[in-house]
Amino acid sequence: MFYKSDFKFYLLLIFFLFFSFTLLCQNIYSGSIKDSLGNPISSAIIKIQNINSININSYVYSNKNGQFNIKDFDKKNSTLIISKLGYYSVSVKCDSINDSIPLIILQKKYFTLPEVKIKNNPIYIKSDTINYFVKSFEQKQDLVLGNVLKRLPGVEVTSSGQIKYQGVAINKLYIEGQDLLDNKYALATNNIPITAIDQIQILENHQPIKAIDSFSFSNQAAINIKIDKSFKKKVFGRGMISSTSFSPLSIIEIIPMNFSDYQFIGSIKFNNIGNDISVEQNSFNNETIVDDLRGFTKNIDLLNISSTQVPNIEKSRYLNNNTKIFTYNSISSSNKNYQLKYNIDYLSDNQKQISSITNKYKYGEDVFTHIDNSYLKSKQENFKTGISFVSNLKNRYIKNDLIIEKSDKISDGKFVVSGDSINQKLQNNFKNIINKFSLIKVFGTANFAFRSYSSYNNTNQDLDISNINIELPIDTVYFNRYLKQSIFLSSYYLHNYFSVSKKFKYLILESKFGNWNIFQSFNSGLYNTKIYYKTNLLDSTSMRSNNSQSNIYQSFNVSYISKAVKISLTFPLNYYYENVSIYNSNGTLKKYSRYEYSFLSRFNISNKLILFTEKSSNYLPAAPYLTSNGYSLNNYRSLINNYGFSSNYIFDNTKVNLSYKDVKKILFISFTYLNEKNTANTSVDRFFKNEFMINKLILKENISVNNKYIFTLNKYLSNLNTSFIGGISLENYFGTQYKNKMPFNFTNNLLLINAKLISKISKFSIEYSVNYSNQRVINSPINSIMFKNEFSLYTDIFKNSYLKMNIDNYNYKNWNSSNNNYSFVDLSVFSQSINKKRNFEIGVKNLFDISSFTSYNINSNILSISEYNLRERYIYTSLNFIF
Amino acid sequence: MKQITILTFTICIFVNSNFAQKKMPVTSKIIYAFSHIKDTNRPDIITKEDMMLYITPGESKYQSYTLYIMDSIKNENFKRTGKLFVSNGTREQIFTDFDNRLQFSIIPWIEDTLLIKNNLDSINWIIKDSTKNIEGFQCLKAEGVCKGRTYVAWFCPEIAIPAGPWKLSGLPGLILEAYDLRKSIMFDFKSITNTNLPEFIQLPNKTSLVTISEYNKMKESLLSNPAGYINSVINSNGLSIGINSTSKIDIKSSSSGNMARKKINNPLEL
Repeated sequence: MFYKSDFKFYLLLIFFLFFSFTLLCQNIYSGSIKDSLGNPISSAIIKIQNINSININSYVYSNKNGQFNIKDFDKKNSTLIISKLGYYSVSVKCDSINDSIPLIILQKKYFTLPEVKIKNNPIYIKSDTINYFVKSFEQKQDLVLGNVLKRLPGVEVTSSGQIKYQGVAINKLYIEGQDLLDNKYALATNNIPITAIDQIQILENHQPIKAIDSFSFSNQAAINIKIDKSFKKKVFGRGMISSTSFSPLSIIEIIPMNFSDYQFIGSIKFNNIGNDISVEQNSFNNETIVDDLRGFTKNIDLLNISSTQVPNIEKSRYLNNNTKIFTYNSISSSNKNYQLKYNIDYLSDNQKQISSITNKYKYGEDVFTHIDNSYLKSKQENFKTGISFVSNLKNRYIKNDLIIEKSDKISDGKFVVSGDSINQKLQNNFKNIINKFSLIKVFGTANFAFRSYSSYNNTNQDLDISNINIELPIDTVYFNRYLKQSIFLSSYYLHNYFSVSKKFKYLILESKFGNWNIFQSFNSGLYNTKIYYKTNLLDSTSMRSNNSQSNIYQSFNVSYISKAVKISLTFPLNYYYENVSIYNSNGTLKKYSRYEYSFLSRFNISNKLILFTEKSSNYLPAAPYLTSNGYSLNNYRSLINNYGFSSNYIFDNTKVNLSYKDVKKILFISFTYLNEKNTANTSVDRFFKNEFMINKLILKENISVNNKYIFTLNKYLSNLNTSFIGGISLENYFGTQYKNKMPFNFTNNLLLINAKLISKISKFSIEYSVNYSNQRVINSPINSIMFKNEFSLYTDIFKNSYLKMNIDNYNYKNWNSSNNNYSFVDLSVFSQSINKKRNFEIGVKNLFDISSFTSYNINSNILSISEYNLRERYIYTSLNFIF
Repeated sequence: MKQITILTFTICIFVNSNFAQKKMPVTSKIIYAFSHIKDTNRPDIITKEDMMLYITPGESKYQSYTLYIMDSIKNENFKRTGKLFVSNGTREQIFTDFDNRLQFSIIPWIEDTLLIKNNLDSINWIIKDSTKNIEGFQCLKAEGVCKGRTYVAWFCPEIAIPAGPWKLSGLPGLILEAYDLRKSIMFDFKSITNTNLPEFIQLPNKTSLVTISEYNKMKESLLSNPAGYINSVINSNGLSIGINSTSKIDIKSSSSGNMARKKINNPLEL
């Protein structure tokens, strides 16, 4: 019995001894954690971490009393880290720990975690509005709105800066719902800092005039920029300063803006680095384009100095400029119903170019070649101001725009023709004033509209040619040396119409009545400037005329607007009156009528698939002054005579647009077919004599047809941060050209294939695009094939520092059997603050110092080889900042 | 009955006061995309919901973000139009008190809120060598068993709190992503935002404390005969439901069939 209990006792003793030994061998370390006030810290994380990695070997938590026990660990290669949210972490080297862990005191800290914004689908649709979360598409190198806009699925930004949605140009760009810029939206896209933007909205089928929203439909979309809350109630902006190896000051830009109740955006910019900042004063969607054309409200060079076609490469590579702009746009609301808009634009632009062009005019087997080597300097100064009053309500729309414009241009060129040097100087002074008034009043299911457009402008243009050695064959007289062609044209234009519309559930009837009148005064003379007094060389080069053109029109419109189907048919009848007085004699009065029509339809086949068709026929008579009879020297190479013929044009257009969108899958597809037929009652007949050309108008009908097939696909893979854009366009153009009254038919084909991939892989942001174009003259070996690759890479090199590399490669194969290959490389490093408030860049442009670029173009029967001098390699530094 | 009620209230007050010690405001809000294949025979049907996790240095609160948004829209809509609509989503909220190692489930129940108190599960996580970057956060991989399933969790040691979505917790850093081995249950990280408001994680004031077995019984009764169960609860409490007190509640017996038909062969908790 004793032995038995003894055995049990010893067994128990051995067990406890063994257990204690095991415990001793494990070396359990205890410690406690307190805050700076001596309070214990519970649920702190105590972990043993490898010195050379972030791997965790073991971990425990502190208890309510701030105490913890941790088992044996590798003292040599480990660190003990104690951390808790809201406190600074403490690290203790394990090799410094002997028997116990000293008391650990954690200091409190104010902390915020690095934020990651919600990653919902980067776009979503609500009714007719597609919302894009800017942050989903933004990349680290993006500084302004335009950088991210071109990356939005379904949106395309053309090289001129125009924005298209599903292949159709947008009709408005709003900022916080306000139409501040009247379609001069490049100012916004180039300057609103990306950090200030919260969302970009596409407003599909947008009708900007609220009062006619239920009376009409639109196939155009608008874009609305939603500003981030933190930027809404303050003046902010961006600025830039840059210097280059050729100029200590190459860019200065200050663009302040404010998008609260009173909105404004202004800019002061200077650059001589090839950035075409003048686009920021261009309007991309002109609602009164036909009136502007008829009223001659754009400053057009009626005379010209031969210029070389600009190459199809990045503009800053060849543009040799010195540009200053000042712009201010504001919109203020005294109350929600009325708005006052004010705009002022000033531009001073000096440019230089050295280029050469070889034009080959091909008529069957006959080829006439003109070669120009030119050195050209131009100087332009524009001033434009406008004030608008707007009231855009659902039951009433009132708008009055007053625009005053002045523009002065001087171009000075030296041309080498057949070894002779010719100087040309072109001066163009232009003054313009326009007033546009619109009133629409809605009475229940009916509306009444009245619009008035009036403009007055004049242009004075002189072309001085000295040292001309080409024989000018006018009648039987030949003259040379020193010539001046002068033109003065003044135009007064007035267009008024009123309309009445009535809505019957889905059916809308509209009747419109209007008239427009143009009065033009035209003087043209060709002078020999070598003699003391200014006399016209010949009667046939002296023209003085007063012309008028009137039109009365009435039109009926029937529209059917339901949710799925929208159809509109307009069939007006126009009566034209033309009165041309040459010298002081009585002119001829012509009366004629012409039918015009337009048909629009829109079928929502499903929520995703929409078919839009448009068919229209429009009649446009040439400006009345063009019916004058006499010679004018258009440039030193060509004389023009219209022989008093009154040209008119009929434009027949057919457009079919099929668009598919799946917002959830972020897939946008569009197909567009365009047929543009232009029928003119007159043709230009060309006579060539050596280096000279005479263009005479003849009464021969001339038809040209242009067919375009455009297919685009845009898919965004949000998981891969990758966007693919692909497009195919096929253009087919045929027409007739006359030489010595002999017709020559020709057909051109143009195939364009574009593909672009935008991706963000780990630290790399990549943009790669391929462009292929093939121009061809049918039934001849004449062609021009261009293959273009553009590759941009952005990658991190240090924290907040990035490397940027652009490689553009162009390869031309053409009828001339020459094969030109160009590779442009630009390299830069930029460093930016985390909030993107400052961005410093240093880089080199045109690394391989390519000095000239030759391009090949086919335009009807004219084959052109253009060589353009490029900006040589330079180093630049720039600082971008947001204030 | 009266004694039980007093006892329940006392416990509730105690639990609340215990939970309310050393309160610190909510520092951050994490949104997870939760997806769940409830019926493995139909893997094409995935229930998706956005879930949100509030964290303070010592606590966390997990609830449906989708429902939170829908409820705010619903309230706004009700104020404007007087019309109510029913929103679907996870109604259970999970409160975790890391300092006291407690976890509470809050479940809205017919005119009541149930409170289930549990000790915080100790998941035996095994930390692996793999690392992964989730939206700029360097994460480590861990594997552990929770509620009958083996989960892979990616946690961020930089965010020193042992919290995570649902009942997944106990790692030396916030869990940003987790999924079971068959990927039938997934919690994907969507966003993290700092809150500037002085919000606190607090248990609701009026709750009925029940045990998990009591709750399971109540759920079983409701599913087997919803109409009878709801009517009995309403009648025993003398409650009236509805905006207009005169409106009658007509819970048809056919609804029991609908609820019974919703079979789940892959529940969240096994």
